Amino acid sequence: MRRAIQLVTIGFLAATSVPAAAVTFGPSLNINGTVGLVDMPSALTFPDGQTSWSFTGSDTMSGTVLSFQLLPNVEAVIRMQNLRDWNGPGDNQAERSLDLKFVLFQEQGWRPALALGFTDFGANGPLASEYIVATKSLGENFRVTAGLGWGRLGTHNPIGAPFGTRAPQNSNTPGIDHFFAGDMAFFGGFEWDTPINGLTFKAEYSSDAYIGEQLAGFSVDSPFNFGVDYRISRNLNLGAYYMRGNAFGFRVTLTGNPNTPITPPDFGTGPLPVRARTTDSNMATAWAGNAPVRGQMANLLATSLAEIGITIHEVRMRGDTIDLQIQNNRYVQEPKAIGRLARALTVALPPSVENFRISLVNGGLATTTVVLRRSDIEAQVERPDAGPQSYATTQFLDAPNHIDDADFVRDSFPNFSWSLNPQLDVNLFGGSAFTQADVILRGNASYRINRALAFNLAVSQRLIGNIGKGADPSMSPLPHVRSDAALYDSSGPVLNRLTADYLFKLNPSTYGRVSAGYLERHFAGVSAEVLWQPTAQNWGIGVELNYVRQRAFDNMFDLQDYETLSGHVSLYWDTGWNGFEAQVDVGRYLAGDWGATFSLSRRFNNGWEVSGYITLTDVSFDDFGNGNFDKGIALTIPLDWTLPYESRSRTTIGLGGYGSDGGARASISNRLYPIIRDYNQQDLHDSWGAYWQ
Amino acid sequence: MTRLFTAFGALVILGACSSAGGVNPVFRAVWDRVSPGQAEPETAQTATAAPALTRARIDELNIAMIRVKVGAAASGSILTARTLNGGYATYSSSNQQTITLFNALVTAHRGIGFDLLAVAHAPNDPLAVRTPLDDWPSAVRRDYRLSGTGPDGTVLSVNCAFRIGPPFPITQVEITYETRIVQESCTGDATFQNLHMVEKDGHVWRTAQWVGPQMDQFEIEILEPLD
Repeated sequence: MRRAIQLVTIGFLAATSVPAAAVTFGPSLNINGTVGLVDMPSALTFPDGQTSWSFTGSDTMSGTVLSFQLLPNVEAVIRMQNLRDWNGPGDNQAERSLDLKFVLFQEQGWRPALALGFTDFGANGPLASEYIVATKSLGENFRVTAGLGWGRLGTHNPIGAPFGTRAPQNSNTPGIDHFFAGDMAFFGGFEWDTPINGLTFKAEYSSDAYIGEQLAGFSVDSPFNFGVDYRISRNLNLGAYYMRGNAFGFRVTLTGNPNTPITPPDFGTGPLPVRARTTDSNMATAWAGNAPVRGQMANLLATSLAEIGITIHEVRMRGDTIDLQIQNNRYVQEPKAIGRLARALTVALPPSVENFRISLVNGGLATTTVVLRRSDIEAQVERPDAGPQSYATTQFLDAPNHIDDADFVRDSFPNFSWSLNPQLDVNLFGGSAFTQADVILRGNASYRINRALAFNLAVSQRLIGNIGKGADPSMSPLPHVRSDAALYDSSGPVLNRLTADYLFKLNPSTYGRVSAGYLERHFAGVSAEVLWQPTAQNWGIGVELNYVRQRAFDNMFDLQDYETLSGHVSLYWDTGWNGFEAQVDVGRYLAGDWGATFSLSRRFNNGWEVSGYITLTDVSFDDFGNGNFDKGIALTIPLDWTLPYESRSRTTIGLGGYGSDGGARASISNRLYPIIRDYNQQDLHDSWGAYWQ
Repeated sequence: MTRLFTAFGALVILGACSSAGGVNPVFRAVWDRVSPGQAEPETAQTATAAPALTRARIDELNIAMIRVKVGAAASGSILTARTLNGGYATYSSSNQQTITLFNALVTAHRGIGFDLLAVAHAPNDPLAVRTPLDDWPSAVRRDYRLSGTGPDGTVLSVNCAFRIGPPFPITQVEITYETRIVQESCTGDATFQNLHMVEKDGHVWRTAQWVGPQMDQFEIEILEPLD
């Protein structure tokens, strides 16, 4: 009978099904790892946040490309390419470029998508070009692209130079004078979504004459390039190309989007249902006058909440109010922990307790106190507007570091903890060997005397790798604070950190840290920091001073003669716009140079983060060495984006730092802002959707 | 090459060991699969097949109960009512995965994949307010709230039109209901179809509903209603 019903159901559905909306095939990457044809760009973009890591190669170049859909209409690409024989036979050119593409408008009706793009933005190097390009779909399976290029994309069959002459290439000179200057040339092509699922065929007319390539026997036999793009899965994509009438190229791309996790984000145990009080609930508060009862209740709470990944540090209960200090050990989003705790409190606490004051602790520091009213929770739960209503009725206050007259204080100190993690270090900016990598086993241990004071140890052992091998001796005119990195003995265990760290609060909105010992691989000394950031404020100011001395190359504990005082004033700003956060650090760097570091990151609620920085100091570009100035990018992916487990673990891939002496900061492991950044009101607002989850 | 394999072996085996969490969960899952003898012993509940559900058993429990099947799952799970807040009844499975219904409208679910946070319905929505079948409106509007940035999350608004189909009696745990098939077609920020088995008085006894763009449809049998 049941089967019959199912069949009827299916038949009824099939007979009345709604046709799916017409969908054109998605955009794909070109050999340069940017959205485009074969070697040319197109006016398309990926969905917001889409991040791709491509490995590319042809007879003229090889490299790695990280592309990121910075905003729905802005594509940002970091290219690290090795241009073979660029400077003559056997003399390759390592080029790093930032490419930006701005989509002026998306395709709509008869109107094509239109984009303006810059390759090697802000530098007139070998890859530099500018273009304007339009792309239009013709039916569901065919798309055409046409554009005009300048710079490198204006070298084949130029049709004029409407905006004047272009200065000779010089990647050492940042600037914008070369934009749209020099010869202009036409390029174009098409993409065809073949009947083979996931396979796209492409053909293009290229406007790149490859003028700078110096390969032996190099020639351009044809301006027409051809390629296929094959999507093996949602996260793996291949490209194969036939270029210039005589050469082949390839691209392998790993791709993902923060907004579309590989696994469902909430597959497991749901929250406790809220138990609303009734009108005849016993509101007596006599129980609160009995200290042993309060202590026993707090103990029971601590035990039961540990099972849902929440550690209680301190509790104070009074007739109508409970104060708690909690640490979230499980949930990526803090509001999820707050919500689950609040639900548990509605079940566990006597009806008279109306106010829940929950202080969030991280790294031993109490950050923000979230004040909830139980009657609000009861009135809002399951309602359609529960999300916005709950945020509107919640108070966010700066938390004192401890609760006075607590009924319960977690008695777990001193304690010892440890972890062992594999680590993959990649250096794409490293001298002669273009790509270097190490597989490292890293161990961390912490002996915590109390919530404030801890002794921390970090050691590592390289299992396999080549970072630093074959490095040339540093010729830097600056103190060799980083450029001698290859001289540090890494044949055995390496002591990366051995410090005593004291974290504290000067007042509810001001945090402090003092660290002393072997602060990092290259320096030992004392570091002190103060950070002021009220929780209701979306910006903060910090000051850090480090008095350090350089560590010995071949001995774990000895020191060299070089010592210096470095320090920075830092401004942190959570813009509240699309997850963007900005940071400016101004001060004195390890080599004694003065300057500033500008950082920008985009954070997604589920823990994804893409960040980049540049450092400019009073060191001249020539003295700075490779790269002219310090810059880098990092991609952080949360573990639970890829696996069906709730976990706060994250993996960070960092590309940056030339090993240059200019613009080098001491690497301090427990700076204050990363500890508290998830806990201010702006961050809690952004992820408040998880409160009812 | 041996050293390379050793390195990657270490990566897999030692993936994030710590004093707090033991070995990483991926390694644990793989290890349990390849070494079933080391897996946790089955509990009495898992080792013994659940007894067949009978009407007598439902009457004995005397608690509102639904059976839910997600997508193409072969069998459904029993969820029992845990709380009733302002007309929103939250049902919970033994694993504490929850589904919230407002009458017969699914308004939320947790722990089953991509959470549906809440649903706003029109006052005359016949799924939310029991309405004799002859009086069902031709269409209603709903707002489905999903997780997203900020307290508001992401709201998908749809307009849903009903089409009453042929009579089709259904039997659920020994009781036969004289229902008709009602097809609901929704368009707007999402496009989907729901299907309901509805008695003449508007009582929905079985319903298959869309519960989010990245979720399979829920097929719900009302085994024991709230009232």
